[in-house]
Amino acid sequence: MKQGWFNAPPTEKSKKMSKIASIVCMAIFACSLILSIVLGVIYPRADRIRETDNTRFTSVFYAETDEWFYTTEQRVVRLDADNDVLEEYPLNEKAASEFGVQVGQIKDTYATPDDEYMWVATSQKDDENKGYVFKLQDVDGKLSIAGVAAFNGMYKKMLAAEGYLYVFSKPDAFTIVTKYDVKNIEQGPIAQGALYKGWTERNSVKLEKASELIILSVDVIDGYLYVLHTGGLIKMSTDFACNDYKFTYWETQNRIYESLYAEAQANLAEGETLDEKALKKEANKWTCKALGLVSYAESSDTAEVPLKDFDFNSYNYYIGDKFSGGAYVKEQGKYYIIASDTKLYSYDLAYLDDMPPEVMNIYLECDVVEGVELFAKPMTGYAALFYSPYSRKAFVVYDALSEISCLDFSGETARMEFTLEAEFDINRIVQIGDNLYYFYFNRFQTERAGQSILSVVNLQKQLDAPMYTAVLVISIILCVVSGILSLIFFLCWRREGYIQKVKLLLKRLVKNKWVYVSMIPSVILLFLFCYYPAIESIRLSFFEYSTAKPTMRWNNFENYKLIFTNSYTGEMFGNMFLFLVADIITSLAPPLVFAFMLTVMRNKGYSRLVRTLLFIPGVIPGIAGMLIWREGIFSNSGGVLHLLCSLFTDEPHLFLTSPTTTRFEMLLIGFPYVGAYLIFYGGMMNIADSYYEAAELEGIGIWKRFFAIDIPLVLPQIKYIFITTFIHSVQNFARVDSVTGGLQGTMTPIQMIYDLINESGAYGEASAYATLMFVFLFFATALNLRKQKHDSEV
Amino acid sequence: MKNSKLRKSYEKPAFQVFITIWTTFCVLFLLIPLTITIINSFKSHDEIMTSIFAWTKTGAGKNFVENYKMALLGTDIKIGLYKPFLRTILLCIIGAIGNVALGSVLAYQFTYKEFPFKEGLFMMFIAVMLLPGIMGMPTLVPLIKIKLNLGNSMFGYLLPTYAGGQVTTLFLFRTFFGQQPKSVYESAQIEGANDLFIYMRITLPLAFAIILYQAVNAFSSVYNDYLWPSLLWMANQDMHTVTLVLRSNSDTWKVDSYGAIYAMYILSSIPLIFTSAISMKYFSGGDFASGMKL
Repeated sequence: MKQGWFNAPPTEKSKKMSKIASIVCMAIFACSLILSIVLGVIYPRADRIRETDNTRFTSVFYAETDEWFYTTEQRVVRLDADNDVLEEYPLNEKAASEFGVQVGQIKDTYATPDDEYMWVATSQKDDENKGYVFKLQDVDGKLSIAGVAAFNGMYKKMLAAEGYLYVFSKPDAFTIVTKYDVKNIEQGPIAQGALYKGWTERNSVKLEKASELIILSVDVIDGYLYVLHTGGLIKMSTDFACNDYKFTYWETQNRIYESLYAEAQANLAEGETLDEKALKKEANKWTCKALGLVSYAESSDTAEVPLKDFDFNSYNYYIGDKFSGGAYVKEQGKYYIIASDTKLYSYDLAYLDDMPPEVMNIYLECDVVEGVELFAKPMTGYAALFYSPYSRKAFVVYDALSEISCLDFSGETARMEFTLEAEFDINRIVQIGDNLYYFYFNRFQTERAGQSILSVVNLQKQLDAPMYTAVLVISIILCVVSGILSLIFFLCWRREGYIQKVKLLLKRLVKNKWVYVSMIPSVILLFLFCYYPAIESIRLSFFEYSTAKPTMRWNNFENYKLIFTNSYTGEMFGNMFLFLVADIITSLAPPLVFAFMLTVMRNKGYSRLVRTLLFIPGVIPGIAGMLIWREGIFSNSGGVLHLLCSLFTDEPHLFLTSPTTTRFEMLLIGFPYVGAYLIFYGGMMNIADSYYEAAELEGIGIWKRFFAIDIPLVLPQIKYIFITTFIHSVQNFARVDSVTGGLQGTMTPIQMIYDLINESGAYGEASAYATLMFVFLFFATALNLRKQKHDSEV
Repeated sequence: MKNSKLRKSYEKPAFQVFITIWTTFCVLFLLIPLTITIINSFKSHDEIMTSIFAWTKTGAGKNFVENYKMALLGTDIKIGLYKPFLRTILLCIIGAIGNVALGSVLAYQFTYKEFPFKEGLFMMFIAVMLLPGIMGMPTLVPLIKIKLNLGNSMFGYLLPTYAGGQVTTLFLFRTFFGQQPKSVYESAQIEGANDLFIYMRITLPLAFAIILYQAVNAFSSVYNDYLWPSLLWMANQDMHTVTLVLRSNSDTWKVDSYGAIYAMYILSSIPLIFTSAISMKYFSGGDFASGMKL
């Protein structure tokens, strides 16, 4: 724009142009406003389709095209692709009426679209330690039970593969697996195995119970059964040849014991009693011999198998590092595992072939998958992985974060496809077609806690979500800018002289462009590190936010309630006030007196000497000063005060040890409180001698002069010291932290904020304290601001 | 008669004696912490445990070397001051330079230029003084550490310090720039100098004293800072500044190297001796805002 344009007077043409421009801008404004609203409405969101009150959702699955199922604790519900209910099947009623079986709750389901059966596992009524597994099939569009079998233990997981059903349960300290023939589950278990942990000894393999493990995934791969759990991976043959000792032992032992018992009873002499213990020992010995075991410890069910008889291919236990979720991707031949950090790991099963032979407990060396960064899992939280083999996608959900991460396994490796904001603590998530179905337990939101909610989200729309966001942001910006511009142009058109004003403004803006440019770094720093944190702290104080639970849930004054009900609070704020009052007094009175003394000292040389000497202690860093006080002066084993006290009594007072007196002892720091005397000295030196002459003529005394002249005339300095001491005392951290660390009853709010941030990472609570401090300090900081502004303008 | 009239009330000998005694008492007392520190840095650990005031008997020279060597270099498991020193001084220098640079540019613009929205912008800078430092901490710590990932870098510390410090510097400099003779400025403008030239060749040299003062101020305030480095770097030993090292060593060395602890305090004062010397050279007399620990 040339200089001339700025200076030219407004013409009719420019008025017309303003009119056109303003109309155009208003049109843009209207369009973008409508666009923003529309986008806001159709923005991809999750849909709640079902809610329950007294029961919970237990699984979601699909077995047929265009239809899907969910189960609650009592029913199996079939729905179509539009989420309309097609059938509700009350499993517990049907089980009772058709099979005479009393069912507790549905625990889980297993179904694949190729199978003709769907499997439902339940607990038994009134006995959580036993369960039923139901075989359901679709007869003319309706569900019906085709078979039922009972199993022992609390249900953990199940899998149907290659004609067999494997049910994992935990009857006691052991986790066991029970195998059924899919065609005929009524006949009962075909085989049973136990999950062992083992290690090799010189000539044998010892197997003991693998406890404390949570099963993450079970798969049948190449004819072997693999169990991925929180402690690693277990591989076993599907006939449990090397891990069925728990069952074969007791079966055989019972028979042998009975026959031994009968024999012993028959051979019992008069007056003798049966030695049951010895009999048991005998039975143990014979059973081991019969089964070919080296030994078997009955109390812990630990088996010892001779090395030559143990096939490490039929059973092996591999150690992993705190796995938290995982799945097997058949097409890649790899396990993908999430552990306790933010990375995704893969383990190629082919590596197992290279394992050293005849060894157990080998550590699985997993490979890190490059380029996948999961959310930082909170310290106490966990993450779970749900894999949909048909879409080759897995979903990672977290308990303390409301994100779902979607991983895509359809290629050669894994790729993070997207993350979406959903819910906390999702119990299960399944992809059916284009939709993502998941349910969670509504624990935290205020409406109807204890509610279980099933939601659906359209995947395709979610994948497009970034596009929606981008367009929305652009349209909002467009809306705002065009709104402002249309206003300006409107005024230019309608009001006289406005065009000139605008032109003048533009001219000045352009002329001063370098001024603005030079301020850009400062402004960015200011907003990013001063304004934003302060405002965000206020906002955060209303949220539950900490590194343990980065949930960002609206807390609604919970944090403040916590503060006010905390028994420490009174002490904390009391200490703050105590220190504040003490600091103000000690920063004003003694320094004023000291400065006064220096001004009236006749020997100016001595006065200068004193002032010079007093520069010296100022050379020690603040924290060192505090520490010297703690170590050298307060120390109870030879410190200055200790020595002083022992001059007077035999039992000198122990400093910094008592919760009642420590805070007062801390007030001694800085004695004799010379402080910022130099400021007052400077001020007093500037008082014109004429004042003093006049006063002397009136014949006033020393102290009267002090109060009547010196103090009022250094009032600006007094104000300055008062305000800055106020602000600094409340925020004085070094003093308390280095001397007592907040113990012995000396906790102050700032120490609390520091502890909350650094030690607990409880940012929400810390923000609440910080906001309270802000409110408290506001009057002081506002006064300071006014004073600074006034001073800098003078 | 003449004598007694000349004699002011405060020149009574009794009073003078009183104030002499009082000030001397204060000075002595204030020098106690420093004295113990110096004395004890020449003693061995056991001697310190026995008596804090006594001078060393086991040979000042030997103890001196031992204590100061440990304080400076540390041992395998103990951290000496050597690296934290360099790290902290570098941090302080960059902090001082940045602070002064930002503040002086801002002050220049606000003193000499008139531009649209000047008052608004100035208010924006001032209003920051309403926010106490503690207020932003809960957000600032995760912001720096997690979102910006600057937790292991010097700038994680410096950027927020610049943000707040530039405002104080702005105030200070504005007053002083305003006191510079306008004539020089005007004649330079007539000669056709642009802003950058005026800033570099006129404003800065004329204000050298106050710039140095503020640089020294900024240097010391970073050097003395305990709260902010502690929040950021407590867990990260490689970034510990002198203040943090002082603090942590005071706890761990108590067991067997008390002498080294005191030596450490003395050593950590050295940079501040320089800064105090510089500021005293330029500003003795306590005119404005001096006398605070520099």
